[in-house]
Amino acid sequence: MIQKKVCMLGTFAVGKTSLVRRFVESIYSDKYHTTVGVKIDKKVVQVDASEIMLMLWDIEGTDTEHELRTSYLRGASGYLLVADGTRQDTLYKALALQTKVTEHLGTIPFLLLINKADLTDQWSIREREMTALREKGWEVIQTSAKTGFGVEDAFHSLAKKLAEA
Amino acid sequence: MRDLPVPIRDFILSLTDEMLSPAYLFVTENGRLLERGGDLESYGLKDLADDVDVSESVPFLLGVLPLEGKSLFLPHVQTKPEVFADVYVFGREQGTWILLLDSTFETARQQVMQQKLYDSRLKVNELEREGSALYEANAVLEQLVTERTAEMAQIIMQLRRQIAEIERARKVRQES
Repeated sequence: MIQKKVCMLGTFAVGKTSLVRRFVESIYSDKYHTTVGVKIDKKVVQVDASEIMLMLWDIEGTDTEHELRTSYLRGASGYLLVADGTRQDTLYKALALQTKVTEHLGTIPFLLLINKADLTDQWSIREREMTALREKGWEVIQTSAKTGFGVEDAFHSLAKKLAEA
Repeated sequence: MRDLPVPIRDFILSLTDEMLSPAYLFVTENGRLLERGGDLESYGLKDLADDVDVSESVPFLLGVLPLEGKSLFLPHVQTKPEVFADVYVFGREQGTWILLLDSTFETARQQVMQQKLYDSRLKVNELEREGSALYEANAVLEQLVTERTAEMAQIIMQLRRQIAEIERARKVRQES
């Protein structure tokens, strides 16, 4: 079976670990536990007629792109950039991370996830910002690790891109 | 370990062995397993087949081999629940060595500090959000007060005009 390494990237407390847990184990906890280092999970995803084993590298959140340890990125086939819809600065930090990853790995498949869609009344990331990124060709998906909204779609969409790459 | 007498070297080695549970894999450039040793089981690494690509059974090695450059360091890699390792990958003429040293204690220590830091930063974010909501609510209130004050001023002027009108009418009645 084809194995693909996928990195979860974003600043702290945006919900990277929760998204992986929701996707892999279908569970969610409201309590915030910061990640130190990296945790690796795997899940098989069906893409058309073939199966892909996604190796999900849940990498510790950093405050700036400079703090990202690039050795964790080695061999990545794709990545999910995660921002927290209620914290606008997390989007800007995700954009800076994307630039750094591209410098390091070149252009590889990725998606931008705007997480915490269960709290849209508190969002500070505006629709026009997401539209501007979509117009640049980015795939932007709203997700909620809490309710599961958009989570399966996001991972499957990336798996599809990896299969096509 | 230059200039260190043998007993000191031995002590350091036994300390390393005791505290860091070293384990290793030795693989070809492309990741085929040649040799293994140390406390691999404590990292959840067992039943590794010889002459097979290790990245198939060791998740953190996927995409790592063949090694680019002389070495690669992957700190705090969770190898099984509650167990973390610092992973060093370095190449030599005969192949590539992968060394695991236990970092569970250090990871837990950092986790506690990082949790406090990030919790407090999230709290600051929340306070800032609440502060800005209060500021906006205050601005709305001030606008309302200004509008009401203008309305009241108009009503007072209207009342004064009506009173003057009534007064004039009363005088006219008295004079006639």
